[in-house]
Amino acid sequence: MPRSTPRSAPVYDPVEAGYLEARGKLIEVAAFFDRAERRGRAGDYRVRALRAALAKLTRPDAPAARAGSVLRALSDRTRAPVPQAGPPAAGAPVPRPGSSSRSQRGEKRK
Amino acid sequence: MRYIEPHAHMVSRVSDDYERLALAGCRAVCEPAFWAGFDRGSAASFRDYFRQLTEYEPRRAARHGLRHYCWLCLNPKEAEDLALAREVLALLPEYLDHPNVLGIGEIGLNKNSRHELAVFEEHLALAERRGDLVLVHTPHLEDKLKGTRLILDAVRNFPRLAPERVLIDHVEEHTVRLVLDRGHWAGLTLYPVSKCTPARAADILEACGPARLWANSACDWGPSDPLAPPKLGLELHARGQSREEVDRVLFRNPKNFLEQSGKFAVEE
Repeated sequence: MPRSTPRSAPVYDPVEAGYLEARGKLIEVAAFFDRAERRGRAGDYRVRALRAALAKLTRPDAPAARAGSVLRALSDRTRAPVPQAGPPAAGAPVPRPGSSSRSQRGEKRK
Repeated sequence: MRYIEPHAHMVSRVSDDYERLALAGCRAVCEPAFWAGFDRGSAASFRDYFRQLTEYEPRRAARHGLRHYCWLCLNPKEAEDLALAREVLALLPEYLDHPNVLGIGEIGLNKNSRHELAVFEEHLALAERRGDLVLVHTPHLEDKLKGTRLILDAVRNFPRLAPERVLIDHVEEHTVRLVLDRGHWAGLTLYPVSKCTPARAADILEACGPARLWANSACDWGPSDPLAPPKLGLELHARGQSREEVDRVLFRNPKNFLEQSGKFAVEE
């Protein structure tokens, strides 16, 4: 009986391992935007925040830290504690009246 | 594959889950005090909950050969009521010396409010006085980055709390280095949708190295997977990590942190 040779473990390839799942998730995101638009909800602050965060992925000079970059884009960037606990977290910072996204960054208490 | 589950809310899980944990190689489960899904109405209800964590859950776990430990506190979601919070804080010392209680947790912030911060600091003061380990919850979603910064700044105000005796849980890509750079331990929580997947947790481990990191499921009454930590083990194996490297993340790291309590013991 021929002696069997042990197989070496397959070398991990992130594209082989993860491409189909990433493709599926991207299609889900696209379908979500379509659904929101069809139902007149494209202007919701969370949809706008997601659209803005997507831009982090496609910049040609984006470093290999996109997950952190997207998380920061979807984060409340103010620093001071709030006077009272509000509604549960919703996944994107609530825009304050009259503030641009730029002024939300690094706000200091007066 | 042996592992320790350092953060699971077993009060909200059926006994079948204890069996699954045991079958998957879990040696010990650690359960922090958390929000019941509704605001408790009195300090007396916290007494009942603490009894459930210190007496009932260890018996339920033991039927499946698992050791059960817990952490006690008033959780951040119930910190807006300062009067109730202080009543609960006052009765905590009655339970903290129990042999199954590892320390104070999971304290932290929820919506980053002033009252939450005040109650968090009062818990830290108690931990500092007693020399307890601390387990910290960081807020969800868009509140996590801000809350992590507030938490780190608050902990700094208690210099007798050694950084390596504080674990800050639920870190993600944008907060993990903030925590590790301060000398604390960081927890990777494998929870669907709102926290990390095994793949992302493996990415973070590759980027930061395994020192002072643990992984947990934080399984609770929401859609969550009590077997998430061994799934991280499978992901790490698939990426070519050795059995020893996987064992370090899933068993040795939590063991090393938790043994600092002087109470945690698990068979090798």
